[in-house]
Amino acid sequence: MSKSSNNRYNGDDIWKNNTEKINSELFTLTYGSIVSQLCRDFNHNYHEVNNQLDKMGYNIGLRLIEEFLAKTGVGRCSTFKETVEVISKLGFKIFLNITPQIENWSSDNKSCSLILPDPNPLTEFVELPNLKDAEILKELWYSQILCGVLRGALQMVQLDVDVNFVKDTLRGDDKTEIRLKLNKFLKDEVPAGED
Amino acid sequence: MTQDILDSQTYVSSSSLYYLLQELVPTSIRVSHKLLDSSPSTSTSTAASTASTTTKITSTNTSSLFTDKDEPTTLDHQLSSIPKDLPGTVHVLDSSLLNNDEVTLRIESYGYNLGIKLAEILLYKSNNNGTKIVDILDIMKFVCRDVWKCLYNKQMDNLRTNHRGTFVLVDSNYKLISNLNSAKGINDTLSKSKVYLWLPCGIIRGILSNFGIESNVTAEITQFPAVTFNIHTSINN
Repeated sequence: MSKSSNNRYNGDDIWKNNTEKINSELFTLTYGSIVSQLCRDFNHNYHEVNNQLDKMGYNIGLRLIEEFLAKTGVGRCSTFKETVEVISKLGFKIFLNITPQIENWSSDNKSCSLILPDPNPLTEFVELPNLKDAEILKELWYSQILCGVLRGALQMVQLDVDVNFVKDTLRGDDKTEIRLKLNKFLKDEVPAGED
Repeated sequence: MTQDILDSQTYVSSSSLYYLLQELVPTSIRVSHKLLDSSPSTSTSTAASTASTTTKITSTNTSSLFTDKDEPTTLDHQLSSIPKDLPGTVHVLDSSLLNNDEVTLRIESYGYNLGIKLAEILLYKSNNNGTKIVDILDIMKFVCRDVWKCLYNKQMDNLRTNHRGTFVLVDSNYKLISNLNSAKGINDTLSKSKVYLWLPCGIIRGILSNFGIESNVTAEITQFPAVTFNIHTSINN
């Protein structure tokens, strides 16, 4: 346990010394092409786009957690509060090189908000074409993939958590906010569909 | 040449990009599956609904097939109606759509769009690099060095040409498939990896297209995970 708490905040070290990096513009571009093509494919049904991004993210999360645990060597968190700290200071740090602010804890310490810096690596240079299509501002969660990633990754460490966007600066909000809500700790068991 | 050609202000982990790129193939299959699934039912839906509605026809018709709300993915819900397509499994690759044109074209066009934009930022930022791009061979070198370096942190391993517009590029360890491994053996790995190659083919075609060169790019796995890209252009050099 003591080892894990020493490791807890060395996201900077891991980022500097143990992470192969690529330029974030390339990442931004790639993600942007995916979102825009999904919008075209689904004929601008943005709920469908959100869901598809969420699925991509979820699958990524299921796989990404392994790399995360291997790189950070972080141990079991004793509270959800600690988990969220780890997500922000290690998870976001070593994959996207950002450290979202944690705010707005509920009184039962089961839900809180992650405030993404603006712009974040997914949304840099991005503007939603709201003049042509007003629905986009109400329906599309451009960075929805992040919710999927978090939900998928947390699922693999036995945490059932609701993750969703509540605000996005791309929609004209004052900040980009992901809301996390812990539902329950899952028992260790073989996940469904695993043969 | 060893330093990154793009500005070095902001970086993300390269795994983030690879996770994203790797997820493109399953997503393309799911999207195609969904669209193909919905098109027959659209055509069989009552003539009244298709005929009477005017401009809103597509949105009203598809809204019954497309969802109208956000549904968070969970572990025990299928990701698509493809059999056994649950999160964390690879059953989606067993879909008969795997080598369907609808899917491969979709993957290729992801690459194509990326290639077009990528060529622009790489050229914009490489003007201090000293190398001038004069003819098509320089463009190919640009693909082999700068583009590959930027995408995969390595260069293409070999470049050959017949000087009549055909180029052969070899990457002896193509990163996006090198981790793939099917439980059913190497043949299954090979047949499923093939579809992943449409992405880099699209990227190369997009880059060339940005230079005003029409091309036809195909790829084959010569010795897993070595990949050979065959590029046919109409330009004699």
